[in-house]
Amino acid sequence: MTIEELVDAPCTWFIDHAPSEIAISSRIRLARNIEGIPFPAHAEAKQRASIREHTLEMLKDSSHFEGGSFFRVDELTTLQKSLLYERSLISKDLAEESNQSGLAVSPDLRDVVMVNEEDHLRLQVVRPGLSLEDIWEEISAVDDEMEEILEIAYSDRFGYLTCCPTNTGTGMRAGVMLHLPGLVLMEEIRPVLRGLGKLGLAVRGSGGEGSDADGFLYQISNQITLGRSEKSILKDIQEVVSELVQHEQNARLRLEESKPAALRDRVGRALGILQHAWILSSKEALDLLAIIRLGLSLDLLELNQAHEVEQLMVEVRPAHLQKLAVKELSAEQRDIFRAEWVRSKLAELKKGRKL
Amino acid sequence: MKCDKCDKPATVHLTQVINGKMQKLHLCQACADEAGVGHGATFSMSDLLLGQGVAQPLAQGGRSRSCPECGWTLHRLRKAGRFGCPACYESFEKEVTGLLKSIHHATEHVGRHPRNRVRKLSMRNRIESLESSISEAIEAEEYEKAAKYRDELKDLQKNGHEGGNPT
Ligand SMILES: [Zn+2]
Ligand SMILES: [Zn+2]
Repeated sequence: MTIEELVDAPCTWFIDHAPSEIAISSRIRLARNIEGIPFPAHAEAKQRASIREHTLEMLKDSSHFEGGSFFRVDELTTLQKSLLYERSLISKDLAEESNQSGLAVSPDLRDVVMVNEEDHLRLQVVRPGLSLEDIWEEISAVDDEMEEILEIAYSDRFGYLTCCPTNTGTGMRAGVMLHLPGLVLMEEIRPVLRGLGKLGLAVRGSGGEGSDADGFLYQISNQITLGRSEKSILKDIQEVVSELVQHEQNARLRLEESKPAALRDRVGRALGILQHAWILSSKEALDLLAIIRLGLSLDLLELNQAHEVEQLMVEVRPAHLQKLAVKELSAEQRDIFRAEWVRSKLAELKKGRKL
Repeated sequence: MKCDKCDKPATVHLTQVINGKMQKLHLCQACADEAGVGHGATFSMSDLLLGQGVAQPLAQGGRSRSCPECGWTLHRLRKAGRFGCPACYESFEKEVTGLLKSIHHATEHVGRHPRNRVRKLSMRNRIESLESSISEAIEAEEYEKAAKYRDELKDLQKNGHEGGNPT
């Protein structure tokens, strides 16, 4: 697959679900390094280049990546790198600093190996919904295969040896992306986030920090990587997330019950702005689309192709929008084009609205 | 209240949330200045945490120790909170143990290990692993494979470990 085809392919893990889905996607990444070679930041360019070529070459013949896509990230354009970042195929760090780094993507676009990020290898598997157990099975199989072809740095005492001590041990970071507008609008998000912190889980807004998360999207992930097995960490996250999903469902119902007018007002205004605005920032667009998503889930709105809203939540991001525009846009032009794009899409979608 | 780094009275009190846990730090003005936290400047928590265990050997040794594999120094480990290469873990074992404890509240790995490591584990493990491979192969009716494993097992039982160092 060429880079053009890859960034054109639908973002399945982000759009493959109904707007009522609260757990949007799950992801596990494993940090791995090769024995006897300095970590990327401390390695020489020659060493980095040889790790990249060697690893990509090996992966081409592996069962998970055969027929997949392989890139030298530093040969991609800035826009292509940003697109990969917006699709969670590479990290922000790799998009910004990509000397001698590489990327392998499996044919089904679910399995990813980043080469020469902070660690020599970062394996990542993303799937829609809450599916950490399935992902663990899948990423373990990828890991097994990697371990057959490479000598992975591991100590019986400390586990997998990583560049940063916050990853030592399992090298695993597992996270679930959640859509929590109900808790935010009921003003219950803060205590929930504090409680998660006490459980040793990290919460990140998808854009900003804390409750300023763009589009009410929150990423919940583990912090501890040493002293607990992957399975027990995953079980904890799975349980906490299931509880959070219930909290969010409750919050939505209570919102509908306690503030029916305010809720309809909010959804109606969101739709109004999206249909009539001429200038839209990425954050505003995401926040408003998230409210539309909430309206759809509570059956306040009816759109003939509700899943297009999920698609829009990808398209309004800066790099994706730039790609849709075809020509180079300044930040101001981008906000104008974004509003135009959303107006035209919603005009196509507009059908009966209940409210 | 005494300073966490030396024994002078603490005048600077910091609260940091690390891994969801509140961590309180009490420092005297001199130590706070040294860590650059007295004036609202940004500071690296790993530096502070590591500093508590590292200050002594640093003072005694005079200059910073380094990893024989990659040349990474204890000083850089403190500053960056990162390692230079996998061997750094062994080179700075004492400091690493303290650092991991402060981050994860644990010092020993539990969980997945590389499959090929099985070979480096004890004889007993190797024998068990070969035995299960044999029965797996037989179940899958892959008799050639099973025979190969059986030969390996015989070799192993006859010669002990071939060059590997069982731990
Ligand atoms: Zn002091
Ligand atoms: Zn080293």
